[in-house]
Amino acid sequence: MSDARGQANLLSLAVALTALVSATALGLVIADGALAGADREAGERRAAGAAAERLVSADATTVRENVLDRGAVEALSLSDLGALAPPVANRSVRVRLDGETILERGDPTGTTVERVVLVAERTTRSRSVAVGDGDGLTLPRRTDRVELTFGPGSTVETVRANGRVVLHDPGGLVGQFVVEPSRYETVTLDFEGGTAQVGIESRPLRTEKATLRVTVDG
Amino acid sequence: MADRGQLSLTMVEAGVGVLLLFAATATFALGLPAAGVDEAQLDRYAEDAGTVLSREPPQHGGLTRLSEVTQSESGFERERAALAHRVERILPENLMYRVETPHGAVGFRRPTGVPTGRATVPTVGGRVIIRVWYA
Repeated sequence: MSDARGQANLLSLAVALTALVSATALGLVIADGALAGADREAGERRAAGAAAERLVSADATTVRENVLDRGAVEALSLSDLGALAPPVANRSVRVRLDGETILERGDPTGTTVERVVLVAERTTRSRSVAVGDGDGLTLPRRTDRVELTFGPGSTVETVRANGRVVLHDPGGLVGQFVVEPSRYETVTLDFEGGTAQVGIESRPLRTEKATLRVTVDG
Repeated sequence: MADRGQLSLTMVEAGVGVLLLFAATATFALGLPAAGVDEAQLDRYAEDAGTVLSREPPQHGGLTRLSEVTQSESGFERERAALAHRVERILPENLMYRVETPHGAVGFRRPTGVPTGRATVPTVGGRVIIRVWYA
């Protein structure tokens, strides 16, 4: 009887130990996985977010918020990016605009932040027209910058943009002038006081959509 | 009676021990909240779409593209197709969207239980809410 008891105890002890050890091992594996999953790479995420945020809002790279200046972005260097967004200064980083890599240091595989942006290019439209007293001229595209060049012998005294006087000279406007109308409305220029040959150069922005991706490695 | 007592003592202890270990394991498996990475990215998409739209000139009248649709019922009806088209153009292809204005909404019906990004843009005519989610 006592032998049988000892044997049974030994057997159940072995079973119990096996069960406990396997449960412990399983627990450790899950705990390890949970700890690995809890590593959020906060610094990396913050750096990528900061760099993307600066690129879409800094005056150096944008025309206005979320509208990138194509020329400025393509001319950007890694040290410029480091100055714009100090958190990425010493990290591997890649900046892509619509699948095209603009900047790259190292081969980052970490957090990627995507931003929706427009990419703007300034186009130039010039034409030359002869205007008389009271003539109106509507610019075909909205713009925030118009250059007017009045030829010699011009007797135009006043130029109005949508009714507001923007240029006035009682002796006749001669030479080059810059008019900055509102970008939110179509501009009609009215010429008063005389006749002139006017060169009109407007600089409308042409925008297209793009995705800005910033990838940073810790 | 004696046989039952012999087997159960060790095994019951082991069973209790295993249960205890599982309880500890369960806290690891269930206790962690999601990282919220999807929502953060979706919020960025929504914010960006709102920023782009709110600084765009209007199609016809009004201050900006968004204030044009919040201004009046007729303005919204006139611009809804153009607005939907514009939002679709701005957002990446893998996103669905819904833009809510005081006069109605454009876009898709929002499903429940999926991560959604949200941005609110104040305009003179009321608030515009942009929601985006992965298709």
